[in-house]
Amino acid sequence: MKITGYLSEFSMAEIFRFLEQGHKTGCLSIKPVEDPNEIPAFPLADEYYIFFNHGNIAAATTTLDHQGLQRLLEKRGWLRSTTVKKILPLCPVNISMGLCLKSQGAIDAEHLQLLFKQQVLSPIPQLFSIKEGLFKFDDQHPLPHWEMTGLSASPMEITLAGLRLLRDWVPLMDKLPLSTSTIVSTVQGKPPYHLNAVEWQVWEHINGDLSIANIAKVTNLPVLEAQKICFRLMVIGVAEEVAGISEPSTNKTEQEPEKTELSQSFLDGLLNFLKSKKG
Amino acid sequence: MEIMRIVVTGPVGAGKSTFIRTISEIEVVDTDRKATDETADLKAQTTVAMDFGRLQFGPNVALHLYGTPGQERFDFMWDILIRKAHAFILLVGSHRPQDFRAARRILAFMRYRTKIPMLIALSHSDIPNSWAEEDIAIALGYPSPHNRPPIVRVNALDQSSVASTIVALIETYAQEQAKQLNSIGGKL
Repeated sequence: MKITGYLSEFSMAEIFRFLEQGHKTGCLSIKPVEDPNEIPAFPLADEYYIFFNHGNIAAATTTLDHQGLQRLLEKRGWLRSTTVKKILPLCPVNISMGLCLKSQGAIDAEHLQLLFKQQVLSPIPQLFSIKEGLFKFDDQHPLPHWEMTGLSASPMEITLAGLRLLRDWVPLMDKLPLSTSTIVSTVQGKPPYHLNAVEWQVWEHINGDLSIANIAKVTNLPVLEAQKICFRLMVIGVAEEVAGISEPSTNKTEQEPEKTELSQSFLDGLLNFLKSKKG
Repeated sequence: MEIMRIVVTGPVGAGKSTFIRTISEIEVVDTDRKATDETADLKAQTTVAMDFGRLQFGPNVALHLYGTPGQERFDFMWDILIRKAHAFILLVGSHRPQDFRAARRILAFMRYRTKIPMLIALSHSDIPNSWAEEDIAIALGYPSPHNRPPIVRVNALDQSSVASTIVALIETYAQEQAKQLNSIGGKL
């Protein structure tokens, strides 16, 4: 399976939600499309590669030379690449390099966590500020075991971090829920992610009774800020926008469907008629 | 007169008007107007109120098909149409992932107002780079195959394909109705 598109059409947050919810394994590549009239928020690489293992982020690189993790180890002065190359043959094939080095006592769990932070947890949230880019997800791409620490991160948690960092929301403005819409929870109980204080505040009011504009009022937030928070809750899959309901209807009869049940003979007749059209 | 009302909904350009025109036995009553906003990039005419088609299959029995406008600014029409519907079809273009967000919003709009049977019909599945059925289901918010509505492929220009889609919806409706009857029977 290969999926391609532009971030302006299918945002990074939506891609991450799709890959996590679909428990996908493979490589997501993102090639930024730079606007010559704008200075990017951070120096952009030519291409980014994010590796997913059963819906979780297992590694991230900017090259496909399988040397990224070794470069990080060397840069930190922990292990030379010659040493790494001597240790790797001692481990079974298809084990991540990080776990291999740990099992041989070359590095410890804390080293792995720091490497993973530098490789995945810190850089990927920055990618949410890429305004336009071509993305491709390839589920046939093998997992790069030499780039993997053995740790993984939830794309939803990364999405939350990325969208909290985002300063320029212009590319996402048309994707935000409308201020007149209501937001309803799609999960039982509390969200399984780490929300911050203001996100919890908004979460407390997303019961489908208040429009986003009214949630903003009761939480003393600017309406746009409430829309951004609701967007965050939506893209991590814990809430859904219901457009067109600014206030709940109090007129019970208006809510009841104005229709009658259909008889079995009617349904049988209609099915026979349509089946004749199927030819 | 016994009438079944089916609403055909979905994002702009999914093929709703075509779907109804293909199967209706009367000249479809449409409210297409020249598109003046971003929709004009996609097609010259767009539905602003509704499409209406009919299939009369006996002296006092008919199927009515209502196509909603795709644009959200006409969502008051979605509301009016869905309240009287017995079932609905969400038509989604498999080749337009940028519209999955809109499809999801329409779905949430409908599901919040009604619990009537529905199915998802995927158009343009034969186009290169169109998404696979399983991936579209995930993108529309149905990650679990055990908890999703029926999904069928449809060619909105082909009468047989449209008829098959409506048959699938009616069968879903009949199953739901039977379940409800059983549940009432069980309580008595």
